[in-house]
Amino acid sequence: MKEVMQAVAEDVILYNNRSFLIPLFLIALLFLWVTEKDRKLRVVLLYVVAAVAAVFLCPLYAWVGMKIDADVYYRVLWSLPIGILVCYSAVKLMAYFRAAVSKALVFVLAVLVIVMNGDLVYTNSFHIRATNAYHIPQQVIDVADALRLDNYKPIAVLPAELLTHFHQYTADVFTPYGRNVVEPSWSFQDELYDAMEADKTAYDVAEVARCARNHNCAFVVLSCAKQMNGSMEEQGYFLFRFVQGYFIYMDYNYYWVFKEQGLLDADVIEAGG
Amino acid sequence: MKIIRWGILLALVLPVPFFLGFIPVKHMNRLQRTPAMTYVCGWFVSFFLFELTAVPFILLEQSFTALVAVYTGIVAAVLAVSLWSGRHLWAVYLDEIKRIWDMPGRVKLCWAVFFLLVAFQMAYAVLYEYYDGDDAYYIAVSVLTDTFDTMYLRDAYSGYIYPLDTRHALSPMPIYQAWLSRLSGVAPAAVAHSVLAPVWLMFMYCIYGQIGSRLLWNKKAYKPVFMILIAVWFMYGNISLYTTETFAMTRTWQGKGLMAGMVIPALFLALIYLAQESTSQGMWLLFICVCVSSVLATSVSFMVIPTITGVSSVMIGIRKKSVKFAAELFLCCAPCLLLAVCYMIIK
Repeated sequence: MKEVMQAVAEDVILYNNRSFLIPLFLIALLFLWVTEKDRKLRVVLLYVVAAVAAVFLCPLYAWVGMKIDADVYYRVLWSLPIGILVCYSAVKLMAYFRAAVSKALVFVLAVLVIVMNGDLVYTNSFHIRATNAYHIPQQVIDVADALRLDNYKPIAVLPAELLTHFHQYTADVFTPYGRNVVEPSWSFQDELYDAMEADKTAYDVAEVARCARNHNCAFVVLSCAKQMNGSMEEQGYFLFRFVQGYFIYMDYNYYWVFKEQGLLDADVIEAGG
Repeated sequence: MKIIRWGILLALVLPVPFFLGFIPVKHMNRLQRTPAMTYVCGWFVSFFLFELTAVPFILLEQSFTALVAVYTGIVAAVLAVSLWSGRHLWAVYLDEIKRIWDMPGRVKLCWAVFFLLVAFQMAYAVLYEYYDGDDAYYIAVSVLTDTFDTMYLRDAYSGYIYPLDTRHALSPMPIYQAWLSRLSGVAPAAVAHSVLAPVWLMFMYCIYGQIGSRLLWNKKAYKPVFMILIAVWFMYGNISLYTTETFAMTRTWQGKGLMAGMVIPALFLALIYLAQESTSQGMWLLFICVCVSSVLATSVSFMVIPTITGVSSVMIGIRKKSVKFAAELFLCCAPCLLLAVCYMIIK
């Protein structure tokens, strides 16, 4: 039980993250406890919220919750309507004063407390200007469009930086792995990924080609930002396209098979010769 | 052609939910009969219908096209019933709109500030992209569903055939987005990032607006002040990666964002009204729809919703001195509990 309580405390601390959020919630709860006269509102805003908070902090409940999924237990904190309580308290405080100046002062103070306590979501996160309606980097779209075939869904291996977004754009190209391999905490291992990403400055082309064949990849996409130790042509590949800083190579073994079966687009046939 | 696609999509996320909301709102009292409440109810009716329709199709490994046909048919039928039965509501809405002109100037100014804040947030959601790794699962599932016509039978990261993903199968929010994508022809990533992100922000503020209406029913002039504070609260709520506000503002289109930003506040909205002496049938309908919608959003709801409902049943039951009321309230989350049992069995 001690470990469970420690985990709950850690969740609360991580949620609060050096801010004044939880104390602000407790102050608002206390303020409304004293000032709210509407019994029907008191039941939901005060009694239910306080009881829900107590239940979620209860060791037995937390133990059961963490047995189901310890990683997401913090989400039970979403059940506390902190924003509603704090903003409603501020408005109630405003309404106590008769003079417009006093009301305005309380309002400005409330806004200042929120702003100084919080972090603006737009400056403190991974927001960047969108370049298209998909909100997907343009190079991912261009590489995906180059890899798509009209009559067949090929397998392609991609550099790590394209993996997270690739299948958000298309399912017409398979990949041996995706975001699951990029997340270090998920401990997913793959020899092809190691061949592609282990060395941050260069590709061991022979190793990449060997592993790609083991994974039945018709296409290999390599970044031009990294050097190539060896040549893909020597490994039986041809350069199909160069798109947005990425070399797209096709395995000749697949080329001949697909060509014979009429699965290739005209531009691939032209590039393969 | 492109304009038609986007037009269909906008119709599916703006007027369709609004019209679907007529059914519960028709059975609500005067204070609750507002256009915003109608829009809120409509979304939850859509989610409720989708959850109950989609889950059997997913578990029976039926094709996505079959689900699209059945769900679209259900929505069309409910829409027809809703439009007919709610035809008298237009007059009520017109009264609501007319009342805007009677507001004092400073209240109008406060509302203008609030709407500007929301417009800024919506514009930011469209014009700026937010990197979130979980989209590699959520959006990819929508894309795979639309492409291969199967649901949760492909690995989201590779596209390869996979056994049924039981962990997510009962919370098929990506399948709902695939439905929007299939009907409109707009790609799932664009549906989620460019349309649902701003539209669901508006949906979220509609819920908070209705909460404000109840909290400040006798201080109506303060409602826009409350809404401005809420809008600022959400903008500055990114104090950690885990808060309600972070999820609601940065992952609005994901099930988790829906749960944090919309489902839980809507649950409190319904509870606040259900705690009153007289409760409307429409509010009960909304409460049931919210409980079921929570499962559509995320599997965390299996634990959170019965807990909140259970605690509320006890507290409100004590206040009303009615065991029957407490039992009825708790029974509303029975579908949620049934799906939880289902989840434990198939997991």
